Amino acid sequence: MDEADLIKRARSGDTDAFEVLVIENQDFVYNLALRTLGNAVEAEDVAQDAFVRAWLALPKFRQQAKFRTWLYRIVVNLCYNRFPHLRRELVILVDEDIADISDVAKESDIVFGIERSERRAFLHRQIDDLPDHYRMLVSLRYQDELSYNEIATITNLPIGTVKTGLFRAKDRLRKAILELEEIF
Amino acid sequence: MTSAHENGQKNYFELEDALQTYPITPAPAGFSKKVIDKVRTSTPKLQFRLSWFDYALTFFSTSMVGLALILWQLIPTQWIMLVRFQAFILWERSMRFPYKPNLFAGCTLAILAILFALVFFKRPRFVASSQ
Repeated sequence: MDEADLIKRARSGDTDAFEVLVIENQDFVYNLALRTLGNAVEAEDVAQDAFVRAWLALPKFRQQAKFRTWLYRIVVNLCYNRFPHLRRELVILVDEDIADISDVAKESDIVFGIERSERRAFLHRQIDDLPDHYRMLVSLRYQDELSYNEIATITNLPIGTVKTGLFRAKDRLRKAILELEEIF
Repeated sequence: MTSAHENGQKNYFELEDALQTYPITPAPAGFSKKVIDKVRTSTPKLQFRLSWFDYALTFFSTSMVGLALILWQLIPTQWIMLVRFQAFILWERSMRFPYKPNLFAGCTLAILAILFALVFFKRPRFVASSQ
């Protein structure tokens, strides 16, 4: 059964169909909440609340967006409600004239030596230590593989602000690599 | 110079690699069950419940029927004969000129139906609540 059928059944009150939708999306929804809030208990609470709100608002869901994207929007709004500073800090980002940040993932298979996995783990810790508003953007962009447009829609921010936020997040990580190199 | 450029490129790819491989944390065990439990308790349930107005309306209607029966018993026989006679005349007239009485009866019935609908559907009702 495809997603549209499950949504149709859930909309008519079928909780079993909704449970399938929950199982399919729970990891992504929980992960986004966790990456944004940085606290497992809060993240679980927000993720559960997001699904309950989705269930109640399902009759209004017109399927113009993907179900998961719609869920992300609910999660982000819940995070904004809990932590108003999150949106404030994103809104105040001044748009910079950033060249299109192309993600050259294909070339990332270059071998860097034996310390590669250690450096990767170091960078993952650095991502965890990013301010929550940057972490949310990173999660939406790299874990959920959303376009800038989709992120802008979900976060209710201008696309320029999204790009600036991601640029600054990467800039912090770049500086962290340089500091690491200076140490060794 | 070339070394610095290569270093920068290496860092760039390393950063992209770290971002691409940033792990997704799975939801805790039993997550979906907890959600569905919450969903089931938050589903608005329509409960059959009679409001005070339903009882009042029923009491009034049955009282009126009872009152009408009692009053009918109290009417003197002569009056009943008179009423029957009047009804017979009306019936006779309606047979001669069926248009007007039928229109009158139809309008009266329609007005009564509208009044009943207004009282019935505009009565205070129980609103489904969500927990």
